[in-house]
Amino acid sequence: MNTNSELKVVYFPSCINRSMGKNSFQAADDLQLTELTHQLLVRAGFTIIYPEEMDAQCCGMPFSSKGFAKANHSQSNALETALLKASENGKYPVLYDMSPCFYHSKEEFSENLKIVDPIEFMMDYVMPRLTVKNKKDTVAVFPVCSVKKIGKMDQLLALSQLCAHQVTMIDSNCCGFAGDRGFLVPELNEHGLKDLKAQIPESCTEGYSTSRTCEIGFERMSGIDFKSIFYLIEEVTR
Amino acid sequence: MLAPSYQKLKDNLSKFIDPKRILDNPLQTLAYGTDASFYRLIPEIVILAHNEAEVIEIIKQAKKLNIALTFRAAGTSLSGQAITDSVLVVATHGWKNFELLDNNQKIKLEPGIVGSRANTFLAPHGLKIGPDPASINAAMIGGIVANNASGMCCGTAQNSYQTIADIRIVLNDGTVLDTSDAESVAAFKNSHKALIQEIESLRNTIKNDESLYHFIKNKFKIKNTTGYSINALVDYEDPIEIIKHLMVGSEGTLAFISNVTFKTVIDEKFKSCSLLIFNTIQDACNATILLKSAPVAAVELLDRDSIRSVENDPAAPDYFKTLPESACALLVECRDNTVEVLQQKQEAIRLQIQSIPTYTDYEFTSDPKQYYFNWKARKGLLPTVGGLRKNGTTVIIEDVAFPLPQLAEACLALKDLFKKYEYHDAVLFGHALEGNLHFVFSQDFSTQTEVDRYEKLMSELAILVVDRFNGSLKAEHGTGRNMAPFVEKEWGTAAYEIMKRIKTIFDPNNKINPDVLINPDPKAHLKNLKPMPESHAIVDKCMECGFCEPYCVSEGLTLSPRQRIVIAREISRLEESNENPTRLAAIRKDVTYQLDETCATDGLCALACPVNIDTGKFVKTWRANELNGSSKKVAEYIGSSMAGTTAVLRVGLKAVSFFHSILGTRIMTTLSNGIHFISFGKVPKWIPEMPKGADKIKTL
Repeated sequence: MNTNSELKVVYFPSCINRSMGKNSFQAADDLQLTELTHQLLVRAGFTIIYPEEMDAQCCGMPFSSKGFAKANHSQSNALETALLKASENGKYPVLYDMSPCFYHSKEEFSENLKIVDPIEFMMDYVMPRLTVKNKKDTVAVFPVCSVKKIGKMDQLLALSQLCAHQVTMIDSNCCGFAGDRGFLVPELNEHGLKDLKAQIPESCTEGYSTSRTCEIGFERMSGIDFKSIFYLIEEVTR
Repeated sequence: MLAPSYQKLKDNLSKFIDPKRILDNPLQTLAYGTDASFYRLIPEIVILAHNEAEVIEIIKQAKKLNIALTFRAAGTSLSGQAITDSVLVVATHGWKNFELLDNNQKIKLEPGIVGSRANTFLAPHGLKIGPDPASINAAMIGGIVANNASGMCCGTAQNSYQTIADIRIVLNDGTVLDTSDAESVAAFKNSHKALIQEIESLRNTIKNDESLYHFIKNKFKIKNTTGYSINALVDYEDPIEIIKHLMVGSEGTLAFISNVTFKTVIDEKFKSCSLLIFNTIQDACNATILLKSAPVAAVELLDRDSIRSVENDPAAPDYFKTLPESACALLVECRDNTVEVLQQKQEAIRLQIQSIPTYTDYEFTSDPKQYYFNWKARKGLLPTVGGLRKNGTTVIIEDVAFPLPQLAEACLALKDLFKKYEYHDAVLFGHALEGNLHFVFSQDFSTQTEVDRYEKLMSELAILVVDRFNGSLKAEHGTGRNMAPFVEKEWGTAAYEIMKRIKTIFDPNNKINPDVLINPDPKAHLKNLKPMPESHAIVDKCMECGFCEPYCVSEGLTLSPRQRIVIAREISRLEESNENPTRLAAIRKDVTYQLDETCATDGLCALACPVNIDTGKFVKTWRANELNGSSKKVAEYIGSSMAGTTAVLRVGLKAVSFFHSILGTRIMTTLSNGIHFISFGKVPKWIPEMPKGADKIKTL
């Protein structure tokens, strides 16, 4: 077992979470995600290392999605270099706070880094070091495309079941928000989530996921607050 | 430009149906018109019907104008069962209702429900629907019933024909018959006396012809989907029962199916399977004959070539690579609701075939990893072969059945036939227990020599299956355009005349899915062949099977992954051949929104694709190709100054949020919609859920 002084994690806040703050649904005293993650990790006993020149870092996916392959590769390479340095060549795990960014880096990086997606990190590293004190009654969770692609739907369910008595797993394809597509082609989000409302039980007023932009799309189509599952974990273990 | 009668149909229907769902532009008619078969017909009009009232109107209006209609839900349509150059009526969106009946003993389903989805409604009760086609994750109820789909485990005992309880149909005159509703049945008997009489007369004709009667009975002892399900005329006395069962396997050529009620079947809790390797194909077939009376749920045959195509899988046993050329595998499945009985069944199977030596010892396994590998080896065969084919060729799957005692001889005869015509990549596998074999091979249709080779193969195949072994030319994939010229060959004149009369009774003007199943053209199977031009390395292996469609977020809004590939292929073909610049321009006009802008590039399609095509990746490269140099420079600039970009976004979002707090949601939405519109969609629409800008992270 690591002693606390050795319990280190490199936290890479994605560019989306660095630039997008809270939304209109969130309570005034909610922390913004990056700050909340910081506190949660500290409470679980981690020392946090941030990559150098963090504000300049991005996994490259926004460029890749738009067909800018060259810009994607240079961003991705720069991030890998920064994370290798921050993690002392892979000595410490690297936490991503968005599943799509994790998935993209997983595809782009070489094998030396131990990058961890939000669900696995919470399940394997954070939950064992915290106690659930006030389990929620009912929540909805959505496995974003990257979660489906890495086959972590069961883990997402297990993780959320640690935090709530009744969990509704949203059954849908991609939410159609797709990064900024939800802003540009909102009808895709509307089409993708046309059956969403019917799936959310009346008593359920909170939804959780692992991708900021998808959560915006979910809020838009469900009318309830959707945010990172880190908020759920932080609240029930506080 | 639409021909006048089609224009008139469109105008008339626009009064009843949202014109947005009546499609006649070249991009959408091609996209919706395509199926997994190797035929291509492009509809004049595609109508996305949302309910029965719309379908009735479509049928009535089309009848007035003498226009042919083809109905489709979803399925692979491997034999070309649901393609048309007239009007295609698509019944998917809006056809998703279901109802559990009689304490879950029955389930009523609309045609647009995917088969596996129907099973998720039944799973909590330990039940499922009978048909279990390999395409169950994509095939919809309408297609499953219309083709009498079966599958690995349902055999001839639990196919659509055997498990149908009721059906609701719209006939060619717009009348509705609902067999579950006594009033509807009574009204129908009254209004359609002549039709009922004709059905009764057909029934009596067969009853009075002893040899025909037994011939039909025998033909359906093995799987058979060649022609109509005329076993309905010997199995049932009541004309309504006969009509109900005739609809199964009618391939949409008799009426529109509004809903179907299935008798549900038990989905056993415990499953195990074993891969038995035999020294020869004869041994494997002889074992299958013995297994017919053993408690097996499925017996699947994989020939040596099939095993070879999976031997490099990391989970494959080492000995796969060193098996003798003569070897043949049987995948045997066992199911029960208790573990004890499951084990007894395994033992019974072992005893049953102990007289036939196996190449290695075998064990039944329920271990998820091994169980999964065994079935993956079997289910992956179509894609394994399809994925290996040369670009520009089509993957063809033939689907025949033989009486079980002749299975071994038939396997060898088939192999010889494929050798004779030099189909060296042909792989043989199938539902051995039902005598049902699939041959998968690749075929080039781009030269006359190749088309001739295919023609020779098909005519000799018909002789082999029908004359030599008295088998079925189609066992479970439907007749389609592919086998329509051979229906008479298989059934003989007397039975074929009955089938033609059936078509005439329900569709006297031949306007309901014409030329499918009954087609007087002896060369119909060689016409309207689909071009398979190379387009892009990521998508060239696409078989257009449509397995991706249920996993795509834009399907139904614009295009599905398969449809994106179809359009990309057509653009490549038209650019290459320069044969029709006007058509190319018309398709290009809509392609940015349809193919590119509405693709979420999430890649979920790759999870469902048998050959792992990620159409999202393809769309990204499409975007890259369509981008001009200056926007690439902008991207590189943004990338090289990410810190600035996130700062701008942070401040920008804060400003938007500030204005929102002053202006309120309604004004903001109106304003930003205006900006969104005049900037051609490049400026994100403001939505109330848009977050505020974040505060800069304090890293210390």
